[in-house]
Amino acid sequence: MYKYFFSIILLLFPFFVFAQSDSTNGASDEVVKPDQHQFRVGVDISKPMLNLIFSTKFSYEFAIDYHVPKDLYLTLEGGWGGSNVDYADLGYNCRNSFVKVGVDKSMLPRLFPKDWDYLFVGVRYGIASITRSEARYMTTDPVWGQTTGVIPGKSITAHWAELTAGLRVELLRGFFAGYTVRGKFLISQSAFKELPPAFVAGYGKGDKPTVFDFNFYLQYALRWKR
Amino acid sequence: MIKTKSKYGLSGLIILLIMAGVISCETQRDPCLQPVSVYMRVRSVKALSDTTIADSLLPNPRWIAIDSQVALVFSKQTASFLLPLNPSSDSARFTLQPDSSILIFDTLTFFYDRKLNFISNACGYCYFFGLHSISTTKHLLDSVRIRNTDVNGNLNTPDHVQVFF
Repeated sequence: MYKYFFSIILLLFPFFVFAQSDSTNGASDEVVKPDQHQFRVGVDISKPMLNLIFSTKFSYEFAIDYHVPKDLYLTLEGGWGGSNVDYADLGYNCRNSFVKVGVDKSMLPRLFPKDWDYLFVGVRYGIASITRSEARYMTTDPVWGQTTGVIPGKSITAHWAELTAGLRVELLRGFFAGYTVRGKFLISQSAFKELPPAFVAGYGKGDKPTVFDFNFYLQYALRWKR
Repeated sequence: MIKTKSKYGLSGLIILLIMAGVISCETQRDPCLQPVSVYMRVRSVKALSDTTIADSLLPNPRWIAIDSQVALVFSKQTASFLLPLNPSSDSARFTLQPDSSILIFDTLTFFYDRKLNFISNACGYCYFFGLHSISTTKHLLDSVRIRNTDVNGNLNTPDHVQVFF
């Protein structure tokens, strides 16, 4: 676990910055509440770009959230993706869809009722339904030569937990941009013992029990009066 | 507010660094850092008494995998040998010449179960073996003994086979 210490510190770095700001602006203890409800829909635009870079995997991710009191954001995320493994000694395809539910907590004090910018930390629970094709394998021995075989396809369900952090900035009225960095921790490791998927959309590398990832979202907010 | 939001620039830089790190970590297949070959460890021994054995150093040993006609030459005066079992078959035949300059040898046939073992996406698969039995000629050999049936790459286990001269 210690080897992830630096990464976790990096994940929380934006809030160290926030702590410095808060101590210098002399914010009062008065809590400013929003005067509207807010529901947002968003798309992760980093994933289509990564799909262009990596030909062996792809994913698409979307997110919706709803603001509730105490500057909490109930969040539902989902998407799909897959990967193609085509090595000389191993080959198979995976496809999966996933859903994540969780909550983000704003760490910035609201400055006025229509201030929707925020830094946040949050948690998620993720679940993915994965279909792996039959896999071909080949072993090579200097004495006995090559041995090939086929592993039957399989359906797998994966569960994981996430710690999230990031920010959202309202660039135009109702239009947000922002990122989320994520530390992901696989819960159901036993499901991946036998040929884990090389890539699980929503999670990352299937053979890693801990994964770090990021999203860059563009979001649109629907608001209505309280 | 302006002062607070000016700090977004720094955290934006951080996220760019994180993005670059994540991308650079995923540009290729992870390197395989584990051994993918599994060997059976054979030791040549001699009995000093009913309960005591000692290594029997072979002067110039040579093993030949009969079905692939590959010769395995080891250093002189050694008693320890690593032999690969055939992953395509449930048995593997070897000849053992204690001294490759003298054409006297024994034939050993190892019988085993095979078990496919997933290592990782980086390394692929290998085979583990479960030794059953050994048949041997006895021109030079006195006997053979299976000491450890699990051929699984674990080096912290006893040698798998002892061949007695």
